Amino acid sequence: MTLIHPFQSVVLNAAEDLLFAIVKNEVVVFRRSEGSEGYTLAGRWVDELAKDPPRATSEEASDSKKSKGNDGTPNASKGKGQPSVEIVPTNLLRAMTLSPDESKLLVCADSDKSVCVLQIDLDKKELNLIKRQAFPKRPNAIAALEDGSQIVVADKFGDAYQIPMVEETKGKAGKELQPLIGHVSMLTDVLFGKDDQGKKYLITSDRDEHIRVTHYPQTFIIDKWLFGHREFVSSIHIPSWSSQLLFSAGGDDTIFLWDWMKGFKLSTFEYKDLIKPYLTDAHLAASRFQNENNDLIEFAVAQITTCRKFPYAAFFVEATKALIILHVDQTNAALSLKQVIDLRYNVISLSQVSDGFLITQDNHESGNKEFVSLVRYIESKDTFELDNQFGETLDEAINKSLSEDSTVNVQPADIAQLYGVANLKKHGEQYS
Amino acid sequence: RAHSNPFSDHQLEYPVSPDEMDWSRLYPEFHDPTTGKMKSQVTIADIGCGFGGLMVDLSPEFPDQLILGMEIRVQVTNYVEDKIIALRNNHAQQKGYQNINVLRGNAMKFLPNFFYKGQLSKMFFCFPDPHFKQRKHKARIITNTLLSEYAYVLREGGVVYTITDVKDLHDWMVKHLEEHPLFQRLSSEWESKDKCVKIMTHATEEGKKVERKKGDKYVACFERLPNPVIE
Repeated sequence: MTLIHPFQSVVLNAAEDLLFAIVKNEVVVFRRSEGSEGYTLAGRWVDELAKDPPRATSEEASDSKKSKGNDGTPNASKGKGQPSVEIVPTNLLRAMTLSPDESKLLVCADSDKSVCVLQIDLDKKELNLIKRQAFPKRPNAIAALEDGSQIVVADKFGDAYQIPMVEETKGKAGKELQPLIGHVSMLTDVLFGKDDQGKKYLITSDRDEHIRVTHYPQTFIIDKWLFGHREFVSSIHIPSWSSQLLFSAGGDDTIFLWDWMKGFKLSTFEYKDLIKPYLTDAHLAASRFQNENNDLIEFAVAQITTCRKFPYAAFFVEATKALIILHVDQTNAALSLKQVIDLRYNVISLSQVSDGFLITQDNHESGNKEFVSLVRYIESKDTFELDNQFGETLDEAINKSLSEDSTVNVQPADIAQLYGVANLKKHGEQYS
Repeated sequence: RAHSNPFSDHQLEYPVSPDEMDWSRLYPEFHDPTTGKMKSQVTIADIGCGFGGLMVDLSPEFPDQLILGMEIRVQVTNYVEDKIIALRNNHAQQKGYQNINVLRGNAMKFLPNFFYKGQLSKMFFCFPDPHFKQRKHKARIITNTLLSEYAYVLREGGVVYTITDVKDLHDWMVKHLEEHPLFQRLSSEWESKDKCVKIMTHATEEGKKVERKKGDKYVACFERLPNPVIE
């Protein structure tokens, strides 16, 4: 039995009529037909360099992570200079983002540790690869400069490089092309910020609890750190309605809201009790880190974002069936619970739309349904609701256009590893 | 052991931020119990302080300033701790060596957790691990990207001191410091007059070892320049 691979992530353009999705190692675009609610496939691109890892090996790899004792053996074969964790050992595409003018789509490819720039030409139903830049270490996150001229790429080794979006990059990354900034820790997210005077900053988060604010383009001048996290930071986000605010989340039980320009923590929101009913055996810590009672749970926020139009933020905890929506009181910068949206399957990605949130679900047990869900704010009722019609029409388009696509049709056992964020947690001494 | 991997997850203790660092534990004589505050801040850091010889010699030269050694190797840190306790006991009457102490830490990762922007006036990098292999160059203590962090914790006019017996590493450190817009090399005349250069060249255990072997010692010192106008 084959099924269409779950969608790892989706992005909607500003006009909200184009939906870009990463499915395994393929990018697909769906266009909403004018005057109707239906969607049609408007372009696709396959990363031909990606190869399916042999099934047995990938399973062994994930098993060994869980089962081996804390005697150093899992790390013994690794190069000593390498960080000791992998997020997800796969050949997937990740970290998709639209260029500011929405003419290009940027994706990171695990296959050759590259950033791919795809020119969007939907009249010809095409996504054309116009640039592919490989890096020495796997890129984890991308941010595009406002004017669209440059891309900043943050890698798992802690370095962030800058390359032109379109023109050829001068020099080989890691050789002639030197990093713009570097942490001595895996970078998990990167974004640009702009202060009241119009000065630009590069904001980066890492596995060592750090969020760093660096001047741009003078990236040799560090402005500040935002201190407060006690665990890794997996996701940072600046809302479109308030440029001095920054949300951050990761391995802590807490969501942080900052004034990143002033360097203050404005508010926090503890979600531990809220998420408990949603935790399962999947959240038990790996055996080598487990306690005597075998009940140590580990969970982490994979992503946080906001609505484009309304002061609401949403986040999800990895491998749970809940989307948690917070209200952001802009006068006193306080966070409060707005709503928890229960879902049928685990959330695997989250992105923003004008009046709500788009999520993708780990729908491999659904019979090719509920790939993408839209959670919309209904102003008249002051509540968020699942837009079932959106999901159903999109499911229809997905089934119609992808059921013959051999790239994205897989055996259930070949579904890529979709959960890797909790692996970023540090467990103390590995070798001293 | 001689090496430690700066990228691995050590069981390190470090404050969430400089605000939360309790320095009174390390420098009790400089803690004012009436105000609950420290009378001095750490202004001199010896990164990778090894057996602590440099701090011991710097201590009487800067009696009002706090000097911190950071060392990643546990046993070496314990040794230095014991050495400082003994020195303090032996000089209890004149309250000697109260201004130096050591922390086990990874300066490449957590320096900004300990120090505020512009807090330090001197940073020493004495006989750092050369990490000869090309692919391990990121593990070197002086890199373009780390220099920005050192510039952040150093005040304007603060000084980075480097010394090594490995010519390649010396060239590497000089190259990277010279390339960095916030550092400027100090002249050999300046070096010849600076008492810290003298101490650094002769005080450290590594320095003495090199002397015994009649090896070369390469010194380079750099001043922290003011930030340029922000674009």
